[in-house]
Amino acid sequence: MTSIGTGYDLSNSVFSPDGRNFQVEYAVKAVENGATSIGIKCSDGVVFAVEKLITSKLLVPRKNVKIQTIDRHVGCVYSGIIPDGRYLVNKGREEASSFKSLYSRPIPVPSLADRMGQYVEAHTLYNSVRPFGVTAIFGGIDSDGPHLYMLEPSGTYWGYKGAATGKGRQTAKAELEKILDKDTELTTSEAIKQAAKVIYMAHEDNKDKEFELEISWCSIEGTKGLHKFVTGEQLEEAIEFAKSETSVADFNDSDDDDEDAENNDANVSSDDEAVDRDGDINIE
Amino acid sequence: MNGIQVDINHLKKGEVSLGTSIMAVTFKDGVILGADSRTTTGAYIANRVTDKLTRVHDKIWCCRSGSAADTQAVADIVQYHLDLYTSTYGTPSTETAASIFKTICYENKDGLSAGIIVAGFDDKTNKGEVFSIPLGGSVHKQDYAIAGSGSAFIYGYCDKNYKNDMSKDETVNFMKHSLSQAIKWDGSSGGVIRMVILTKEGVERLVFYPDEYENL
Amino acid sequence: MFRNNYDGDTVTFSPTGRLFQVEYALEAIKQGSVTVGLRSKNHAVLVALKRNADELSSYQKKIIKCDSHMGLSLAGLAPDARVLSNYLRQQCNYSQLVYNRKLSVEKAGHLLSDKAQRNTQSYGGRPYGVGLLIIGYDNSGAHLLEFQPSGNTLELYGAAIGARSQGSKTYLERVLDEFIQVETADELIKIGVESLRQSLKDETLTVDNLSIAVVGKDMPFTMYDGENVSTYL
Repeated sequence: MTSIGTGYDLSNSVFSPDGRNFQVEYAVKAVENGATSIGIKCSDGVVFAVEKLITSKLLVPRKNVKIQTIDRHVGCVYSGIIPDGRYLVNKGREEASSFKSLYSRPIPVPSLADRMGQYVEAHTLYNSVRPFGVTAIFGGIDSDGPHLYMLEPSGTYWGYKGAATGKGRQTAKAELEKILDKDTELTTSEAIKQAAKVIYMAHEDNKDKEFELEISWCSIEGTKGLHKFVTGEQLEEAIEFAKSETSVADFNDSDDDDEDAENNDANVSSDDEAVDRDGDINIE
Repeated sequence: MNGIQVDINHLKKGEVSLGTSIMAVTFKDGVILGADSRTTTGAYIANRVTDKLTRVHDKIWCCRSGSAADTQAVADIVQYHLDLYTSTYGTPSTETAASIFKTICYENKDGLSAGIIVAGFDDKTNKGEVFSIPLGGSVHKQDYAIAGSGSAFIYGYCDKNYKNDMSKDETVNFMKHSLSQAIKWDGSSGGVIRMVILTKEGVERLVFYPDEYENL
Repeated sequence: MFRNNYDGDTVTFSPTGRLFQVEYALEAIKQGSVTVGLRSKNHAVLVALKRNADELSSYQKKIIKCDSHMGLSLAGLAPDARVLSNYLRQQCNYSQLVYNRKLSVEKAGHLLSDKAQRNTQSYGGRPYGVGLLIIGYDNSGAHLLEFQPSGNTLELYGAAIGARSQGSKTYLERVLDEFIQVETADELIKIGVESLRQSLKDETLTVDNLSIAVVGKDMPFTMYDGENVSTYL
């Protein structure tokens, strides 16, 4: 890594001579090691899914929920430093609520994306803060229909038909492209199953670890535009589908996306368990 | 005080008042705002051809009653908000405009004397809407609204004669009669009757002189 | 000398995206004495090993009550735990005042997470140096949370933090199926104490150094110290 030792990567908000902000790039590294999150946009809504690694058998199943609701009509999932994501969602909620209290209508999703983007960007401007260690995928339904965005630690956000981030993003993206390239429009109820499949496939490279699947959706018909979790039979069905699809699929050589953490940055505690390098920070 | 009328005693000594008769009525093709044109400082008529119908957005207008200074200032602020809103989110709804009026009127209720009726035409739904925001800063969505000191005299008349989905001519006529009575019985209302008609076609202004409306 | 340049503050990411100051804060937990938490369907229990500075000094308090339905034990910097438990007490009080409702354990966890997160993203402060085990009983039953200075809070059936806590954790994993079925608080406490023993080195459990707390169905948060723990030794 050329950035190390130059001194330009030690503080946020500092440009290197070639115009880069290394602290932001390092924040992206925190995301790239996080659990896989995805989002799919359909004609009638959006679907979110995330891989929840089971790092201990003492964890209570189906608790420790990761997907969050920003406003009644907007959902959010993220990879990276989870507490940062929670903080970002809290900010998003504040924006959504202040919009509603002034204008008496729900915030349009593109405006929410803009405000959250500005907030994240502001964290790249000052050396008194660090950038957000998350990439967030969020979206929902407003008066203009469904929207899906992915927001990066730099504050950049793009609209997506299918978005993926976290450790398994490469595999997930490839799968999403296959799903979304088809001519037939995907419906949300179909996308729930596909989302489950994508997470299962993205997990293949990480097979030794157990995981739980979490899915949520906003659908014009299915949830009346509100953001809701997929539960019960619907979830079981999606998992069944994902399992049956992944067991038959043949896997070509694994695409190496984890630029394995080179350990040339000084030593730290030769330690026992400080951080789960592969999962989210400190989930034991 | 019943909360609907404007408390004119609240004004400072010498403050210019819109002791007023205003109303806004939804009808088949949209909404019509109407007002008298008298502005007073105590017993003196400071302006006999005032325009109390104020634009805050292309097809969202308001009728102002209470302090002239306060309501002009509030309308200016709302206009600013709606301009900003338009450039970031597109055309605002009448409800959104009413909500901004409300926020300002409510949060400054101790300092303002403003009784406002917000009326607008929504090009998406093709419907006129009326929101009344009386003194305390509450919001009331209504088919039609009347306010100002003169309104006290026409509650009965309006209740008896208003009909849903009237034609434009019917509505203008209804309002002309209503305001004429308000002006007749209220000492601080008078001058001409002004109207603004908001429909799909756009904005249309009408003026009626005393000769015409006094002998209906 | 090989020096780590990326561990000086909480606002600097390492080139691999790690926050060393936060990781070091996690190490602070291991400096504290061990505490174990576990729960069944109807009860949640905390068991902790108290330390004293020397023979003549008193023992450091390990368990703090927050409300009649909630309390916590700590490992790491006790002053930080006081700040956090005072905050939780305030929030419990606020919930009662404003919503006329007991603060849910899940919400308590989120509040702590969000508070701790702030200390990891801005310059001039440090992350909290304490780990907490929070137990409580609310509308959705008995709960146990593990709070970390990183801002992560996890809901678990059993947890152990502090010095040599791995022994307790391994034990809990082994008897997991057994203790989640347990009916009485008494049995659960016994398993908790046994689990705590797995992390002991030179110490032996006495009436002076063992602290126990329990909360559950029809049972407000209760702490046992001194002679009251003798039956569990």
